[in-house]
Formats: sequence, structure tokens, C-alpha cells
Amino acid sequence: MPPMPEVEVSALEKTYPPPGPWARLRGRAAPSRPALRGVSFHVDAGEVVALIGPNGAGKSTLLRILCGLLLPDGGTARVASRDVVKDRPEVRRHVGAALSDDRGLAPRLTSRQNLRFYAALYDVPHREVDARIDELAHTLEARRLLDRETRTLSSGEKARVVLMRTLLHRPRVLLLDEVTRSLDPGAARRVRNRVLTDAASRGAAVLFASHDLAEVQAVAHRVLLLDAGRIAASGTFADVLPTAEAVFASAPPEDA
Amino acid sequence: MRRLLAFLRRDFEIATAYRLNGLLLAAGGLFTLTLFYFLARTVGESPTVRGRYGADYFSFALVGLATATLLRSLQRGFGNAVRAAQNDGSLEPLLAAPLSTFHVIALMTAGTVAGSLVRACGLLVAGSLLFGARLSVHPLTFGVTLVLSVLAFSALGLLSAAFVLVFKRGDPFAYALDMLSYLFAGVLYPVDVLPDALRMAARLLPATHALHGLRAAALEGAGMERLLPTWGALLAFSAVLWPLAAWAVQAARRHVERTGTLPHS
Repeated sequence: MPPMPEVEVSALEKTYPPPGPWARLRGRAAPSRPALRGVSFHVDAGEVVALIGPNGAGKSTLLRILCGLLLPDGGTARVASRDVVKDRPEVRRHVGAALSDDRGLAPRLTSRQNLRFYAALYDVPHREVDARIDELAHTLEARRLLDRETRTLSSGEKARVVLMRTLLHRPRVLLLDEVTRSLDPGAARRVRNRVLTDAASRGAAVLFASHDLAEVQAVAHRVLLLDAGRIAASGTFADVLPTAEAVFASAPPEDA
Repeated sequence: MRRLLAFLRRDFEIATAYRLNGLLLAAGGLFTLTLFYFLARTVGESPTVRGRYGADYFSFALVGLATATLLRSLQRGFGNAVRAAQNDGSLEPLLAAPLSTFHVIALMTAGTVAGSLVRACGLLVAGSLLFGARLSVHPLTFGVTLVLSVLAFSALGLLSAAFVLVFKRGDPFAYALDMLSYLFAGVLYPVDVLPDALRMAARLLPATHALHGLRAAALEGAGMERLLPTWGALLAFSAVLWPLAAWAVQAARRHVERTGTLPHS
């Protein structure tokens, strides 16, 4: 029996509307900005799929739609067999999302206090909360961070706590947006491998955005290359690499 | 219930992390009570207040201040909680949790409201024990009036939160309503001293009815029959404001999710 797709995206469209009349009056006119144009793909249970592409290609937009924080304009997206627009609270129960620039930790609380708080939001059984926190802290080499206030943590240490928060409720689908970029290369590799091993052991689907092609080559079963809101190529890393190199080489400079 | 406790516990842990916070709040409360105690002695007996509630001016002002503390935290606390979460980046992770937008906003504000309730009760107790305020509380009618007031003002707070979700900055309507309430709803003086036109306009403010009801229940021990019209007015405000607030919160969430401005501060 073929594995069940945990993420199914079909002809997904998203265009950011132009700024409102007040912004236009202040001379900040800008046209509407297409972010996703007919994107279709799937991620099966237990599969690790990488999302690559130049800045502004639509990677973060796609991940935000899948975790129910952004509405698409067209197409459909289903996560854990539920529609991300119609069944949003239920979808969120099965998703663990660590988005770029995630700052959702209360700075005056310790990492453990923050994690206990999120465990309650996700209905993690009360008896299991501390055991899960300790287990994840061991897995992500973060035991010494647990009783420190998060305002005293470095950005790399905060990234570990955010990852722990993401994994705490054992989600069926993991959506990760460059979460290991603030870790040093050795720690990033170890943390990444442990997160993916944990996800694979539970049969979770993983979709992660990254600019690190070595990371993508090392861990992804499949790769999706996004360019200007479209899937420019998909397949194994070797399949996608020639197109990816061409896309990255032709990406216009930021101020062009 | 577990989530409510989680939010309350988190807010309590944050509040107690700032060591001087409680001390400064207590000192501020005592300062206010002292100020009004001597102001009341200066003003002396007010026939209008005595005639209306059978109380001295200090007791009258004390209940007004305690009520205003609570109602203000409801009216502005929801919007302030959303704004704080936008600024510290916690709004997006909270809205990514398996809860409705309404629940997230309500739970985010629970700590502020609980803190204000404690402060309001603290003012009443300290005013009564330390400054000799004369309260004659009817527990049942006071409780019912309090619940109905909280209900009406929570809807106003949710409307304010919807505004902040979209426009990010403070809600000007909440500020205006707050100012109008302080001026015309009878926080520090009875509405009877206002000109007729303003007195009529004051009836359109929910704070007027909440203050009147809570004062009558706390100062005179007014019973149900006397407070039925006040309860009816507060219920009418809720009946109008709650559907509007529910719609506004949903519309605001859809707007920020459509425009992609949810993570913006």
C-alpha cells in the first residue's frame, strides 16, 4: 500500500494585495505581488522534502499557508487529511511549525516555563509534559538551557528551544523555515539529524525551507525548487541541482 | 480550563519576574486612596452623592475608582495584549496553536483582567479597612452586576483587539470611549451634576450603567428589583456588542491572513 500523503497541495495561488489607500497617499504605491502561482506537490508520511529557491520565491508564504496563518487565493492545500482553510484549528493540532524569525518565547520565563505553556495549548497530556521536555532537551543538546530565562539565550540557543516547542506535541507534519541557520555548522548538522531521526521514527512528514544546499543534499528525500512562485523543478537533489544552479545564477540582485 | 490556567500562570510568572512590579502597584493604589481620602475631607459632605447612594464622597469615589480600574482593563486590555504580542513576536506562534482567534485573544487578556480584578478588590478592601470607607455590599446583586459589566466591556475590548490586529497601533475608539467614560459616566462625580443633554448622552455609555449598578450594590446593598433596569441596559449593550465583536475579530483575522500582515508589528 502506498504511503498516505500528509501534505497535498494542488494549484495553490497567493497574491499579496497592494497597500491600502493610506499607504498610497503617502507615496508608497506598489502593485499586487504574486507569491505562489499554481503550486502543486505532496509530501508523504515519513518523507523529508526540502524547499529551495531564491529570496522571495514563495517558500515562507507556502509554509505559512500550510500552518494556517495565511489564506490562499486559489487552489487547495490539505495537511493531515484536512483542508487548511476550512479545518484550521484541527490542522494546527497536527502541525509543528518553526517559521523564520520565530520570536514566540516569553523572555522573562525560563525555557522550561515557556515549553510547559505551549504544551498546555497543544493538549500534551499533563503527566507526560516534563518527560517530553527532558527527552527533547537531551535530543537537541539543550538540557543546560531549560532553567535559563530565554532572554539570556543566544539566537542559536533560542532556535533549539523553538525546535523543542515545535516537536513537543509530536506533530504529524513538521514545517521548518531555516530554523538551524543561527546554529554553528556542527551543531546544525547534529540537531538537524536528530530532529529528522525523531520525525522519521514517528512517521511524520517534514517540509523544510533552506538555502543550505549541502544540508538539503544530506537529508532530503526529495527537493522542490521554487522560483517566482512556481515549482521550477522537483525530484532528487541530483535531478534538481542543474535547474537550481541556473535559477540561483540568474536571480536578480536585491536592488535590481 | 487547562489553557486558561496556562495563560494565567504564564502571566503571573512574567509579572512576578519583575520584582518591584507588585510593590509599585500597591504603592500606587495607596497613593490614590490617600489622595482621594484628603480630597473627600476637603470637599466634605456632598448632598447629591448622599441623596443618590446614601454614602459619603470618599466611599462613592472609591467604588468608582475600583470599577473604573476593572472596566478600563477590559476595554483596553484586549487590544493591549494583542499589541504586546505583535511586538514580542508571540502572536504568530499563539495563533498557530489549535485555538480559535477569539480564544487566543480572550486567553491572552485573562491575566490582565484577573490582575485588575485583584487591584479593584484591593482598593475596596484597603479603602474600607485603612481609610474608613463605608460599604454595604449586597453580594448577589454586586456579583450579577459585575458579571454583566464584564460581559459588556469584554465585547468592547474584543472590538478594540480587532482594530489593533489590523491597524497595529492603539485603537482610537477605545481611547475616546475611555475618556468619555471618565468624563461623563460618573467615575468621580455623579451624573446628576451634569447638564441634562450630557446626562442623557451618558446613558449611552455602558460605563454609566456599570458604575451605577455596582455603586448601588456596594454602597446601599441595593436588591434585585432596583437593579433590574441597570441589568437590562447592560444586557442590551452585550446583545448589540457581542455579535459585532465576534464578526470584527473574524474579519480582522481574515484581513491579516489575506494581506500577510499577521507577523508585522
